[in-house]
Amino acid sequence: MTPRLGLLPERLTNPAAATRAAGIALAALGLEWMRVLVARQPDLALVSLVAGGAALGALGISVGARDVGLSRSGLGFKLAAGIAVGLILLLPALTRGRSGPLLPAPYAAAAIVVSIGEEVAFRGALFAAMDAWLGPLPAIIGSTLVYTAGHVLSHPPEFLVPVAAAGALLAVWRWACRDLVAPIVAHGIADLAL
Amino acid sequence: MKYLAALAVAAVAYVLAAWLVAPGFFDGFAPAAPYHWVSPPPDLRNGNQAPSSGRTTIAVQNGASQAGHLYTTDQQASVTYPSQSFAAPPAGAQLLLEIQPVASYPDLGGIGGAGNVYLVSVTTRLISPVVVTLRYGSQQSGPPTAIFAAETPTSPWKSLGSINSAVPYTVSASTTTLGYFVVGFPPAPASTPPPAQAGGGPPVVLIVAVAAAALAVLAGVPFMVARRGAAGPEPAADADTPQAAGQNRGGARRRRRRGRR
Repeated sequence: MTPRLGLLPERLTNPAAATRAAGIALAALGLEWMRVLVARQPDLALVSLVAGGAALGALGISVGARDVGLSRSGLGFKLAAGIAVGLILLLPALTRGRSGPLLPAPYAAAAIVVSIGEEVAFRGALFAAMDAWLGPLPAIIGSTLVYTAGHVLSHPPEFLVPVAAAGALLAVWRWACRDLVAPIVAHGIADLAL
Repeated sequence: MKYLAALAVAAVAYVLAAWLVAPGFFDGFAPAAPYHWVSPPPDLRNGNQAPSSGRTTIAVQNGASQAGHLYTTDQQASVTYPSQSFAAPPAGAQLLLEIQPVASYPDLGGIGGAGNVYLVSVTTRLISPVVVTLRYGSQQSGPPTAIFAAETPTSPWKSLGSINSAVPYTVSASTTTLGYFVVGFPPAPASTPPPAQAGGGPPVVLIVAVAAAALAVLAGVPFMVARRGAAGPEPAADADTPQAAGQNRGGARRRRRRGRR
């Protein structure tokens, strides 16, 4: 028997689901912050990106490929959709003629690892855990808030608004399309281009 | 329909949010900290911190200066020097290398500075090339392409070009003289039209927002078709959970089997 608090909806007081979601949120947040802090050492920047991205991706193992939204069915559509969503992420920069520096090959590879890791951790594992605990809307909001919090050490405050909006867009996609492939592709495109 | 509507709303919200700050969405590869300006652009005055300098004593062994790196404390500028880059000082004197952000420097002319001007000085003299690396704090239509150098307060600026830099948001160049350095853009030819104003006007952002919404809906339509095909009528909210989605797919499989019979 699990203890229930009388006035709260039943699923709010599900300790197993709450513990799982909180654990994944804390792990993802801790890994993001650790990655940023280690990357401040010039000689460790590349290593921290790759190791941090891989560690974030490993959080998906706790949930399973299917529950994080990864499957091979309709892979062509998912890849094409990822390009389309990536284009949405780039539209404001493209319209204003802005782009980032051309990343050296090792950093480009690291950007892809980080993109995959962040999507698997936030829109994959954390979203699935929060969805199972509280439902899809709290999962969208919660995964977006934790994703944004993960960037407070690496981004000036004014950049956190677009980071949050991008996180929300990708989380809505994850909910509406039950797919994580397109967010991974879109995120990778945005990181490489910006 | 609710899923497509949610995608469209999220896409519009993203464009509006990203329009607040150029270039929009950055992730993981943004500079670790805001750029510290000597003279910040108007929109960056709030919260600007003064840039720092760097200073080191270079060891000299058997009349040869040793190799090393000198960074400013905020890591916005650095000098990498191989061994024997500098003339040895007289006996008993120290070989000091210093990087200082300066507010007074030769007129940049048409050069579009993308960061502070740094004065790099040494107590002896440079005798073989060193590499200067400068982080930049702003871009125009792309990242800055070169480092410019002026040897004295009255010297003209000349481009040093750039060499591959392994660190994002920095430009490196090899130099055979010390003095003033700035990362930036070469002067624009007189006939070149000025670049489009960053930010655009409200109509532009609205057009971009509508385009983003349309793109999100178009990209999402195949998934909605697949979703309907797998689950029949639009599922209730509870069917959004991964577990329920699995049950729906099972239902579709059962229906297909019945159809074959």
